[in-house]
Amino acid sequence: MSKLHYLLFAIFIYLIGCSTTPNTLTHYQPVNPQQLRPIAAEFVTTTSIKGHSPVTNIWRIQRDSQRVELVRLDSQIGEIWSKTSQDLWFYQKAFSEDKQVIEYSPSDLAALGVQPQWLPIALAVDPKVLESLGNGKQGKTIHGFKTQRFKGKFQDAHYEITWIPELALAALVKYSKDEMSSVTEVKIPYPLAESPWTPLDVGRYRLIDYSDLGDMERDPFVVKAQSQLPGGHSHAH
Amino acid sequence: MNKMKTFSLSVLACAVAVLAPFAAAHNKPQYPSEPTEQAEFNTPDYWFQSGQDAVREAKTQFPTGFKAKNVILIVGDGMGVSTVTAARILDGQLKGKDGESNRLAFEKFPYFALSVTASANQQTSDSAPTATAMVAGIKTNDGAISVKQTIARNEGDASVVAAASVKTILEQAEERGLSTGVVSTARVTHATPAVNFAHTPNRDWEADANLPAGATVKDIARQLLEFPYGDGLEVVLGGGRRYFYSETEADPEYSGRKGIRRDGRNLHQEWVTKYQKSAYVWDKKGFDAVDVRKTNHLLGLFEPSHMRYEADRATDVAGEPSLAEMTTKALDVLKKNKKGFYLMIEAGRIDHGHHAGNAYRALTDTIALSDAVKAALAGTDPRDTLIIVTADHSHVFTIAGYPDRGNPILGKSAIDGVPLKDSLGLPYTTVSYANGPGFIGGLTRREYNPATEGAVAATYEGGAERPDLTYVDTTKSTYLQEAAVPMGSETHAGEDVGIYAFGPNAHLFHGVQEQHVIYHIMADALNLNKRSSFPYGNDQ
Repeated sequence: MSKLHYLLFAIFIYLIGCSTTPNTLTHYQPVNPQQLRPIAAEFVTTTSIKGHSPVTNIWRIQRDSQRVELVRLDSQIGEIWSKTSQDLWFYQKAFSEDKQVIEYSPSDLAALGVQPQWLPIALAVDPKVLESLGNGKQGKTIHGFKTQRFKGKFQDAHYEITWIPELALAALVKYSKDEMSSVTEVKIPYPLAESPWTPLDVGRYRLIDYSDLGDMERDPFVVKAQSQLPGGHSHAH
Repeated sequence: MNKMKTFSLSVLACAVAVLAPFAAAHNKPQYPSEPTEQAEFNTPDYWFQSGQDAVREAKTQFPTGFKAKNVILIVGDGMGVSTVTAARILDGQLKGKDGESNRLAFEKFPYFALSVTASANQQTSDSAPTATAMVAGIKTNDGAISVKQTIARNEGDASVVAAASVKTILEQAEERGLSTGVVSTARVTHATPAVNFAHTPNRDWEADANLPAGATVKDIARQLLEFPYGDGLEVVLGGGRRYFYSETEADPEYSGRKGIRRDGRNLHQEWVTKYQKSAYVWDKKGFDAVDVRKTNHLLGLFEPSHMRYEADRATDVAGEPSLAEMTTKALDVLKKNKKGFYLMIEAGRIDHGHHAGNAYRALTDTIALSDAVKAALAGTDPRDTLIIVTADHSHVFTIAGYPDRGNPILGKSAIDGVPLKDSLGLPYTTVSYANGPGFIGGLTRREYNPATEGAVAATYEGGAERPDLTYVDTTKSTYLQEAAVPMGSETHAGEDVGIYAFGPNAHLFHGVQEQHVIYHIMADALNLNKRSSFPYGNDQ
């Protein structure tokens, strides 16, 4: 056997090892938003701030490549990103208890300098975080799906993320920065067609354009909702 | 003898005062043009000479008479004085000229007044009562669309609303056989255009879906279609398509989106059915294809909600006409009526740009209004057309600091290119807001100390200070100017706004006038302001 054959054999053995050993290096493959697998999933987030009792919130997403919806069960406030012609996205903030929805048109989002941020909701984690964490390791199987584990820092915050490549979904996100930490964990993910939850139907809610809010200073709902409409939006979990 | 002399002089003065306007009406009023010869710009000689020129030009101005065939009311929604100033500077700078001496088209009008915008119940008003004041001649309450202040905002009984309704100048014009139109970059059912043709105590009732349960008053879009005066509006151009489409009808421009009407009516189709020689268009291609010779009633709805900002118009999926293009098209339709016309034109998105805390969009839409004024001037004769440009209210938008002449108006305040600094040592922008989405952090708070007549540190709960803008491009279209008070949407302001006027009756605008006087001057010019047509009858 020549040295070359030894070398090729060694590479072969190494590659076999890569595909079977749980702790070998793995990479995050960027998600193609056009081919987002339609799924529904429920998450539990526990947030802790030093000196305060932990707070637990439950939220759900339902997504496909045309529409991404997030509903917070405690407040019954939802966020809907919906795609229309020419890859333009509308954003709606739905207040189900009040039967009101505030809509941001693509033009409104442009005026506010807000980039459509539907992907962090759809993936349950900001893909920029995954991209920044570099190499990960293969993790254990969750709900029948293989996972990858990533760990590291992004913008001064520490992350530990368990990622399901087949679903393009975060199964576990541990976040900590300064005196605050949170753990977000997926419950059972479903194919969207088998979702136990109906999508938010805001068709009969009172529809308010974001650009009309300035003329609604005396509207009781708008007065209440103002504090939740900073103009810019962040959806990091 | 002296008495006789005084009497003779008085008679002569009266004769001149009365006859001069009529005599002048036969001479086409001059729209001020750029001086052909002038001293080198921005020198003492230039300033002195330009002052002399201004006096000379003022002496050539005479009233154009009292009677107009046509009236055009152009409203810059939220276009306060600071907005006009900043827009004129931006317009000049974008053209590579001296911005400070640049003038928007309407700023060259010979007559000017300040308009007091407080409504019947608001110190700082919304667009509904202020627009009502301009087209119906009375002050009313917040949210009211051409109804008296005596009605409750959520009164849904149609008979009660009818009893409180005030006839508008558009309705009076239709009764007299004039052609009428509304053009807006906002929804045509939005407050400012709506006050012309609708009567409802709540500006939000734009479609039946917005009406409260049990209400019998018609929604605003329906009132447009069921307009009872004359032969109906000839021109309606703007946004607001979804208020005319049923909730089962797909929007023609945006996939996956539908109308919001629950009564099953498709009002845009009804428009075409109701009027002979009519057309409905929803995109630029259809707009351009309209043959005005064959079209007597034109409905154009170019977006489901408001039309795009001028800054975003070029990226619209289906294309949209500019405010100037809509103005020209509207005039081409309206001018076919030899009796004359009334037209309201609204630059509705100046207001929205400000609400978003985005000065770039507010100012570029103000420049678009100026272009529409040019189109109005080009399409009319000032001897028979009164053109008024004004705003319904102002915004909390300021021009601050001591920047050099020529400093970019959307840039950081600077002298010789060196940014001025605040008390934290940080640069700041020339334009900013008193409140709105642009709030980023709080300045360490201080209070006035009367003992020392100085400032002393005071408690401030926030931890954030101002951002460092050194490397921030504040002139870009997405920059949100800083705001002192955090709010999801920036607010209107209560100071007076300008009224710029040209043509018959324009000289009646003077000094500081209440906003509802605008209606009375327009109605007087069209000879509509007679007691027989006065909307109140004897119920005063």
